[in-house]
Amino acid sequence: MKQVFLFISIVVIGAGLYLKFLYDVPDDQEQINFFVAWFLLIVGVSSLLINLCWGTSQPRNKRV
Amino acid sequence: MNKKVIVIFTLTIAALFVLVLFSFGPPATMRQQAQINPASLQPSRLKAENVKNQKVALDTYHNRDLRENYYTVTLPRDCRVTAGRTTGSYALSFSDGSGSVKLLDIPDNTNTELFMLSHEEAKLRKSVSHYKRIVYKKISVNGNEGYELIYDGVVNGTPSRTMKIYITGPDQAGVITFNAAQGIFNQRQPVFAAIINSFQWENK
Repeated sequence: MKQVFLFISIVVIGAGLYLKFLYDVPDDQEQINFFVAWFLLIVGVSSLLINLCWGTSQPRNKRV
Repeated sequence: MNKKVIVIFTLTIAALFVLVLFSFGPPATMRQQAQINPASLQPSRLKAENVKNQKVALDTYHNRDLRENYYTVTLPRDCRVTAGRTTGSYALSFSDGSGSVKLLDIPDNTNTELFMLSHEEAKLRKSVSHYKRIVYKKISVNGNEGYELIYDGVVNGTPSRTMKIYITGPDQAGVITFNAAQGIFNQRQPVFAAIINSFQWENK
């Protein structure tokens, strides 16, 4: 499950980077493209961080 | 729940809130206004020129709004020139008509002609009542590929004729538009032609 979440985060970041640097934005859509690109980057990076932090906080099951 | 996760989540919400403000709030309006260079509206004076046996006083405008799309255009002094709604544009107001000079972003996956026919003309067909194409032809404007579109339509209840010239540029296309009542259009055409022929890309 954690791997799926990690994969989705990377895809979201990739989509944000694509919109920010590679996509040829039409004149009248620059504002919305700016917003969507940064939205994806913020959400992607934070979900990546949450994903990484979550694992470290859970106590490991002790084997008897 | 992990404290770090709560902190990251809170920071994300705060960042998104700032992003919304930055994208659609007052800073966005200020950014758009800042792109319009005041020097673009300062004409350099030219002496009067003969246009079809008529003496027409002309001013030259050097547009300095978008670095890759600097251009020069000469406009008659009797027309009122103001900054257009978009960056790199002028709104023209004649005694018997109106017009504009502006920049048009052409997506990388198409060209000026294709974009004009598939996108721009399609928009005109929807927005102009009684749209009727009169002329469509390829032209050359100071060595640049151009496309001339003349159409009739009804604007505010008055039959009018509009000429649009799309000039291919290094990054965006230049679009010169003239609109006048159908009876007046032909009389004004020599002046329109002088303006079109004065259009020049500075970075090409």
